[in-house]
This record gives sequence, C-alpha cells and structure tokens, in this order.
Amino acid sequence: MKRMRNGLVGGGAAAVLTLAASCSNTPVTPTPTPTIDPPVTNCNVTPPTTAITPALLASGLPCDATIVPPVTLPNFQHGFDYYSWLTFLALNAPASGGVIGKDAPAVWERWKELSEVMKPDGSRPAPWDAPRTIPTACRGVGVPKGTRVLSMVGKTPDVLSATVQPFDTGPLIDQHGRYVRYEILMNRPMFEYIVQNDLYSKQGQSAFTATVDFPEGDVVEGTTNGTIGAIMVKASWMVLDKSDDAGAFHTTQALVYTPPQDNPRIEESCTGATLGLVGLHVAHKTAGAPQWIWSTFEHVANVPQRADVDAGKLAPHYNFHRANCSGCAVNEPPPRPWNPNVQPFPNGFTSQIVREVPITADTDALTKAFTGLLAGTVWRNYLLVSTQWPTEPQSPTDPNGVPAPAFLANTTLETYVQGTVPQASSSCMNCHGNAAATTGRTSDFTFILERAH
Amino acid sequence: MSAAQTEYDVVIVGAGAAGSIIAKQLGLAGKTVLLLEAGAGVPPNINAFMQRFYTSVAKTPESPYTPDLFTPPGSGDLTDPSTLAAGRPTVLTLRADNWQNPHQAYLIQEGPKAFASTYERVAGGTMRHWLGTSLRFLPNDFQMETVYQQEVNWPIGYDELDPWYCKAEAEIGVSANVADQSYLGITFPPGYSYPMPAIPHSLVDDAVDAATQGMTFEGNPVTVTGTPAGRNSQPYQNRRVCAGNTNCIPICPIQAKYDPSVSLNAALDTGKVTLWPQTVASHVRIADDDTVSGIDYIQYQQVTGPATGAGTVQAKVYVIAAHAIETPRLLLMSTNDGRFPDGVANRSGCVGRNLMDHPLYLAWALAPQPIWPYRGPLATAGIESLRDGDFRKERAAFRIEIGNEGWNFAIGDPDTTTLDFINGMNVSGLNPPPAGGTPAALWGSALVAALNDGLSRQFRLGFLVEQSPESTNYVSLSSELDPLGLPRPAIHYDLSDYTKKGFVAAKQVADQVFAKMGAKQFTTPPAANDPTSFDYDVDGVTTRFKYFGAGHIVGTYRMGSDPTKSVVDANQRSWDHPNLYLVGSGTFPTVTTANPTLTIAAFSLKTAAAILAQLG
Amino acid sequence: MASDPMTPFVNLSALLTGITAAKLVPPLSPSTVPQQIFDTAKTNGGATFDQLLTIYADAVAQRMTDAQIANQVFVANGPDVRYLARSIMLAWYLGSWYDPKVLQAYDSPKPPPGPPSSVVISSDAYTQGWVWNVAQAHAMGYSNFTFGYWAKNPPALSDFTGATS
Repeated sequence: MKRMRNGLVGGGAAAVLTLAASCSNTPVTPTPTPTIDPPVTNCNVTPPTTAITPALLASGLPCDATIVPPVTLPNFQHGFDYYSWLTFLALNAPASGGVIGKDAPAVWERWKELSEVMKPDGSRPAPWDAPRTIPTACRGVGVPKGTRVLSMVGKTPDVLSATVQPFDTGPLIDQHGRYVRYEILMNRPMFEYIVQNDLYSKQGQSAFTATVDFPEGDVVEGTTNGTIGAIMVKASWMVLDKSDDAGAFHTTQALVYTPPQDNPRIEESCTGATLGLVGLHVAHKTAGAPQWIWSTFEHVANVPQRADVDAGKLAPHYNFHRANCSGCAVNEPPPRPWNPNVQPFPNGFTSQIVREVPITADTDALTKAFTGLLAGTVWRNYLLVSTQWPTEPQSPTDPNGVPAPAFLANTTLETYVQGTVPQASSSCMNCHGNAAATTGRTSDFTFILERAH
Repeated sequence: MSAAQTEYDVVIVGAGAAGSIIAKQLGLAGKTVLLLEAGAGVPPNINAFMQRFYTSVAKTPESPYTPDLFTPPGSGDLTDPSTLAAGRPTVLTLRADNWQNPHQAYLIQEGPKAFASTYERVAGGTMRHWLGTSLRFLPNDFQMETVYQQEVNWPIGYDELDPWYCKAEAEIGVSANVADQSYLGITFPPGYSYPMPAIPHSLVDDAVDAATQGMTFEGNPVTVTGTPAGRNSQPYQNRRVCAGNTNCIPICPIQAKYDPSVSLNAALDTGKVTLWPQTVASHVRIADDDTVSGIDYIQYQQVTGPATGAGTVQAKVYVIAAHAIETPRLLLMSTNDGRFPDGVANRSGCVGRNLMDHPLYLAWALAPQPIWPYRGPLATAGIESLRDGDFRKERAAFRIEIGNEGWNFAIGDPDTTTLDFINGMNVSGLNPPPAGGTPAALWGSALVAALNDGLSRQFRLGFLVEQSPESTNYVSLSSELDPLGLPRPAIHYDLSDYTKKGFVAAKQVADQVFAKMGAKQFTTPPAANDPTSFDYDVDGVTTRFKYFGAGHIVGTYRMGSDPTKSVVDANQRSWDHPNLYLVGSGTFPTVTTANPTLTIAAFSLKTAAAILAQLG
Repeated sequence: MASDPMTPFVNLSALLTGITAAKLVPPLSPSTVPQQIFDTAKTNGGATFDQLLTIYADAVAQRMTDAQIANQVFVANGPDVRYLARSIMLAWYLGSWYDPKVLQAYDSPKPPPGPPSSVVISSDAYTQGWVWNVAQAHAMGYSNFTFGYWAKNPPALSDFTGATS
C-alpha cells in the first residue's frame, strides 16, 4: 500500500536554499532539513474489536485506520469511528505529556496555526518550534491571570481570529450573542511539507509544478512501525460567560483577535477570554485513505437533533439552541453585516441550530463507551458525529473515493450547509476535493494552500 | 418593515445583477440604499435550489428557482402563473399548445412569433442562471449606424467603456487572457490582465479548433477562441475553482461561477443596504417638478398572494433594475392618475419598444471520433471571428458558442438517446431502424457500446444571432392581472429580415464546420406549428428554422443621445426624470453579438458613479 | 441471504444494463440508490415485479445464457414484463421512473410527441445515473473531478462500467 512520496521532496530542499539566497542579502547557513514524516515506532494499531477499557487511554495515535473483516459498510464504519476515538484520545492528551484527562492544552493546540504558515508577506514560516507571533493589537492585552495554559507551557497564548464559516456562509452566534471563533492548525509533517516545497507563498506555489501530495500516515504491516501523515485540525471555540459551566468544556485562555477588514468594515481588536471547545475536526491523510480520514467531534450540549425537536424531547440547555424560541429561523445565519466587534449581536440575535442528519446508533454507542473512560474529566462531554472515509480509495472514476457517509457536518463548523443534497450539503471529501492552491491546481484536499499570499 | 418611514438615499427596484452591483457601490460609499425584490430573498444555502434542480424532470434554466415551476413540486404539472404574486416565464411554455395560454405561460404572448427567453424574479435575478460568458462588445457594436448604416449607434464608444469593463471583470471575477481577447478592435489598458488566467479548452473545443484551422467564411477567418468566463480558474472572492460540473446553467453547485448574490451579500455587508424581499414595485410616483417622489410597493407572504402589505418608499434617487420586461411594465403601469398616460420616463414613446434577444440557431452533429462531451463547464470556447465585418451591412452577425454538453440542449440528452436504445425508439436519430424494421431495443453490453459510441461523440454549436431593434417588437400591459391586481406583461415579437438572413449564414457556417470535421449532422427542422420557428427562402428552397431564446432580454428602454429617440442617457439616467435611473440590458440600443452580462455590469458601475456624483 | 430479493434483482439488473453487479452495488457502497430503485420497481411493478424475479430465478436455475434470459424477459413473457424490465433499466440509467405503460405507448413507429412522462426517483438517483458513466462523464450538476479535467481524456469505459469489452 505504500505509495511513492512526492518526488520533489529532496530537490525541494535544494530549491529552498537557492531561492532564499537569491532573495536575501544575508548569507544563508544551510541547516539540516528535517525529514517531512520521520518514521515512528509507536503507531496505534489497536483493532476496533478490542474492548474499550482504560488501557486504550495510553494506546497512542493511529498512523492509519486499522480495519478488520468482515467487509461490510457498518463494520468498516465502526472501524473508522473506532479509529476516530483513538485519535481523539491521543490528540487531546496534554501537550506536556501524559494521557488524556486534565483540562490542559492538548497536543494539537501546540501545532502550527494557519496564519503562522500563510503569512501576509508570503515569507518563509518560522521553524516548527518557534513561538507564536502575537498581532500588534494583542500586545499589552491583559490575559486573565492564573491560567494553566500560560503558567504551564510558558509560551505565548493561542490567538483565535476567524469568525465566519467557509465560503462566507456565516458566523455562529452563541446564547450570549457572541461570535464563535475558529482556528486551523496542522501537524509537523504537513507543516514541513509546505515549508520544504515552498508552498507557503503564491510565488512558491507557482514554481511548484508537481502535484501537491501531502505525506500519508502508514503502518508497516504486522508492526507498530510507520509514519504519521499530514493532519489538519479545525476547532471551534465559544467564549465562556460566568453563567456558563466552564467545567463542562475543554477550555483555553486565549487572545481573541479580530483582524481589520474593509467590507464589512471591521476595526482591528483584541481581547483576552476564556473559551470552551465546542467543535473539532481532525483530518488525517493515510495510505489507506489518500482522500484523508475525516473525524468530527462536538461538545455534547451544542444542539438538539431534528428528530428531538420534532418530538419535543429537548434538554434544558444547549450552546446553540434555545427551547421555546418561537419564530426563530432554524439553521439560518444572522443578518448581515457581521461585525464581531459588535457584541452581543444586535437585536438579541442568537443562532437557533438543529442537527439535520442524525448521529447513528452505532456511533452514539461508541461515544458512550469511549466517554465512559473519560468520566470525571471535561472530555466526557464530547461526542463523535461521524467519520468520513473513502469506500473506494483507488477508484479511477471518483477522485473522492466514494465517501461514506455521503454527508457529514459539524453543527459548529458547517452550520448552514447541513443536509443531504448532493454537492450543496456538507460532505468533507466532496468539498475538499475541490480545494486548490492559489494557482488553481488541485491541492490534495486542503484549502490551506489557497490562503497563501 | 413596511411601516418604515425612513428616507433612503437611493431606492433600487430589483436585486439582480445591476441592482446588486449598484447597491454595493453605493453602500461602500456610505449611502443608504433600499432594495425592493419582487421574489424571494437570499437563502442561507443552495440546498433547496439544488434539490429542486436534481429532482426536476425538465432541468430548464428556471428549474432551481422559485416560485416552483410545478404544482405540486416535482410533478409535471405547470404552476398556473395567474395564481402567482410574482410569476415568471419558463421555456416549458413555448409549445404550440401552451405558449398563448395565460394559465400556462406567464408572458401574454401576442405574437406573431413567440419570445423565447425567460427571466427570474428572485434575489440574484436572472444572472443566477447565466452561463458565465463575459465577452466585451466590439468597438463597431457601438456604431452600427455609422459604420454599416444598420441599427443605431450607442451614445458611448468602446474606449469610454473600457475602464468600466475592467472594473466589471474584477467585480465578477473573469478568467481569460488579454492576448486571446484582443480581436476585432478590442483593446485593453496597457499592462492589464484579467483577474484570473483563462479556463482550459475542452476536448470538444480542440476538435473544432483543429478542423477549422485556416477556414474562412465569406472571406472572414473562422477561429476558435477561449471564452472569458465569470468562473473561477483560481480561488477568488471566497469561492472555489471551477470543477467542471457542466451545469453553469441553471446553477453552479459549488458557486465557482459568479452570481449576483456575491455582490448582493457584499452590499448587505456594508450595513447601509436593506433588502426587502417579496416586495413588488407597483407604481413610480412623479412630482410636479418631474422628479420621482416615491415608489409604491405591494408585499405578499405566500407565493400565491394575496397582498399582505403596501406602502410608498422615498429616496433622493431611484433606480429601476427589474430587467427588460418588468422594468417597462412598471414604467407603463405608472400613469400617475392619468398625468402620464403613456407611463413614466416615456416622453420618447420608446419605453417597451425594441425588445431584442439573441435568437439562437442550434446545430448538432456527431464527431467521427470521441470528443468526450458532458464534461467541463457548459462552454469554454467559441468562434468570435464572425462577430464583425462588412457583411453587417446586409445581414445579422453572430458569435458561435461551442457546447460541452453533447446534445443536452439540442434534444434533451442523454435521456433521449437512452430512451431510444432501451425502448426501441429513434427520436435522437442515433437508433435508425433497419430497412423495413423497427429501431433496436438493446440490453447488456450492446446497450453500453451503443450509448457510449453515441454520447461520446456528440457536440453542438449555438449561434447567437444579432437581432435588429424593431419598434414593432415591444412590451405592453395585458388585460390579464396577477393576484396583486397588476397587469401582466404582454409581448409582441417577430424576427426581421436582417435577422433571418443571419440565420441563413449561421446554417451555412454550421454545415461547413461539420463538413471540415467529418462530423455527421443531426440538426432537425422544427415542426410546422412550432411558435419559435420561421420559414425563409434559402437559394430558392423554403427552409424552416428553429430559434431558441438565449436569455438575453434587451432593449426596451434604450439609451441614446437624443431625448426624443431614447429613454435614458449614457449614464442610464432618464431624460424625463432627473432622479431616475433605468439600468440593465433594457438600455442597450442594440443587442450586438456578445452575451450581455459583462456590459450590464460595466454600465451598472458607471451608473453607480453617476449616482454618487449626483448625490454629492 | 439467499432469500434476499435484492441480490437476484441486482444480478438481473446487471445483465440488462451491461453494468457489472459489483459496480451497481459495490461491497462497501454507502449509496441507497439500488434500494430506492428496487423499492420503486416493486411498488410500481406489483405482481409483474414478482413475476419478473421469478422468471429470472427460473432462468438461472435452468442455467440459461444471458441471451436466453433476455429473451425470457423481453419476448417470451409478454409486454407487462418487457416494459417493466425497461423501466428498471431506465431507472438505473437515468434515475427516473418511467411507467411501463408509458413506455409501451412510446414503443411504436409513431410515438406521441414530446418525451414520455417520468419522475425523478431522488437527487442521488439522478446524480448516480449510469448513463453518465457510460458516457465516461458525470451527471450534469455533479462532478467529483477537479479543475481542468475536461482538457484530458476520461478514464477508460471499463473503469466506469466494470465490464471489459
């Protein structure tokens, strides 16, 4: 199954040096180029038939999904959902070490954030270990003291900026009238691939004539040896109010940064806040899934399912739905203009969101089993919506590999494009299959490259 | 919302391309704008549009939009337009048995021929279902009378419009390259480049291109040129690149094609623009000093009416952007208690007159080898070299669009051919019966082989023939009323001899191109009672031509330099009412041979600047 | 599994359509279109649907060749079976249901004007219609290919249909 990696990886490093030398007056000191996806020896290959016990908490990150027979859709879906939970456990372990449990900055939160890679001047990103750049507007902004984040890691805090969902479909407004914040991060193999192939700038993308082909996670059969593939994470965060039960969320103390914008006219601003994680996408490119495996998680109290609403079976509280909200338009974005500096949202608007496509019973049962391992931690409050995976990864006629399930949406990340209408409704692979670099050429299922300047 | 007594800087009737683009410019400049949209507002996503499209048996240009063409939805039963508060035409009512039935066809077609184009009444307007073709007009298009003693001149020349074309190309996001587009006098500012690189040609284009190398017609070269497209070849305006869904008309499922909701949303983003959907402008009020003093409107909640609200909105400046049929309808309805018996802005008598389209000649054939249609955008290249020439003294010019959708437009394929091979029929011509026998009904590998062989070689050419302006082609008010009590538009329509001669030339070019390609032609003449057909003598032989609508509704409130012969000036301002602008393709004195949208956008931007200057 | 009527229905459909059963219903397929077509055919076909499956089962039991089975379906058992079989083929190919009686009316030297009436079974029945694969293309309004694919030749026909010619 091991496929040829991009042939330019070696040559790319040389090209970097040449380019840098030609653009800079300072002499370039060649430094060893890190391997894009170095071998690992601890791939989590736990089969999905394994009993769900605390032993799994330390089982590590899967390098690819481990799937066992029979070859049926429900069994494979179970296998990929099981993979999703193993991935969740591994990536939400504290960045500082140890197994998942305490509410501390997670492994993925220390990955490279998109704006650190695609810089406004198209310059080369700082190395993987470099500290986060803080926008000028955020300097001097008081971050609440006594935060575990800052005290423990001793690094710069997270910066959350984006407020509008992809393709300008709209922001999500919580019950306090505040904007949900989004961030996109990537792991080191993905970062190194972008840097070493100069894909962080329009100029570099133009010069890159090969097909973009991010590294794949892979396992040497019968072993735990392998590689970690490119992983993208997209997270949604809700600003927590005193009235919110902060103990129910994975939290972060972050700088909430609003970049300036011409239309709608938005002034640059920055504040510090405590935020709770409400949504988490994890996409991992693997040998078995060159279309990537798309796992998506949500906070358990986000929204009711459509059937629950119809049956009148509502919980007392949701993050993005209010009971007895007569006349509230369901799953509609707020009226324009959208200005996150004007909070709460004018005229008392709050998003009234419902999950359109129900979570399957099997996925629900798996969530209950895994969150059973997480009792007493904030992580018990997260559920798996589903996992989208390619049923025919090598299909010659469908580059998207015939994904299952056909549709998948996170109510905090694809709030307004839920549904089951082909092309129009959210499907991770069908949408990301259209992703292109700034050149217009296909970008291997990530929209990250189009953000280059 | 109807209770609002606010006076806006500008009221715009119609949230389509022209209205949205103008609203955006005014909003960015800090002016308050109210947009009145007769149809539905902007939906939160396109799920409903796409679902309606996918489940429509007839996937017409109108199929995704509202009000639903069918009642109940998904059935084959046309909604009775007389029950609709804001009805709209559909190509499904161009049949001999329904084109003049007011319970089937929204337009009251008075003949003698049927007007074949349709439009939308929905936020985003008719350009929601445009193809994306973003051609510039030719310098000679603006001076037909001077150069060819035909038609009329425009009050503006190419050079004056050039900078507005550049701005329009940025607003829409056009993919093309300057070298390809510099033909027949088209020029660009020094150093100009289109917002995005050109869209690649299809294999269909390549086949036509290869066969027409060196070809001429009446001494003019026949050259295949890539078509400038309002479709993304790179990520642009927060929209994806084109993935070749082959569905620009009626709807791009991934919005890689620009549609006016992009500009409309940007207008709303300014915070200065308010949109009132389901609000039909019903009367333009004129004060004693000839200025517009208000626009009356009627609102409805259900698509079938009745009226649920009414009122008058006021502004400093008014813009009517309701396309070339609803705009004259509104002007003609605005009699102001008899003070303007011929309607507003109509001292010239030209309102409603000179209705034009690109009557389209369609020719289809089977290439000798597979050329792989049904792939890519609906059209990626065309033949533009016959858009201008001395022949325009004698006959209508045309451009030729090369279709990438096989015989879909021509005969409703692939459905028709599939039915033929499975049910033993021969509507397509691809399943001819053996002598004395009946057409084959196939199954298994023979079915696959026959369908693959036919479908993979299909292609068509569409000729957009320049229709001459005729005052006898016009929009008037019918005695049929809609549920809001407003008279429905009546259409009087025919084709001139000049236009028909263009069809004869189009047929000759099609025949010659197919011959060069070694392609077998399957173009079939229309039935004798087809309301969109005409007979014409070709070399002594009476030949029956079918014409299709191109959706390019043009000319009913023409611009000019003489107030007695035109309705608006070169800024699209009414000669009669200094605070009234009439925009959209209705102002075009001639239809030219190019698809009108880019020019609509260019003039809209020009008008926005004029309005800002007037407002101070 | 032997009593599951879906399996013989798919096998018969494969024979009639020329698309392999493995392509019509891939082992891991998330598509519900085959079930939609089965349900639509069963509902609209009634007793004739059962008769058609019985004819097929008997033919298989008698180890008939494909051509012999086709003869049973299209010739030997009368027009009700013939046109229901064609309706099923059209459902796979176009994602629309054409009533067998309508098809019968059109199967004549002088068919009525205009296309026969039909209804679209569902949005995905349309987008997954097999005619698009046989054209080596994709449904109009539903492409999974990427920018510029139209400038290159499509994958081979056998990649789409599963059958080698």
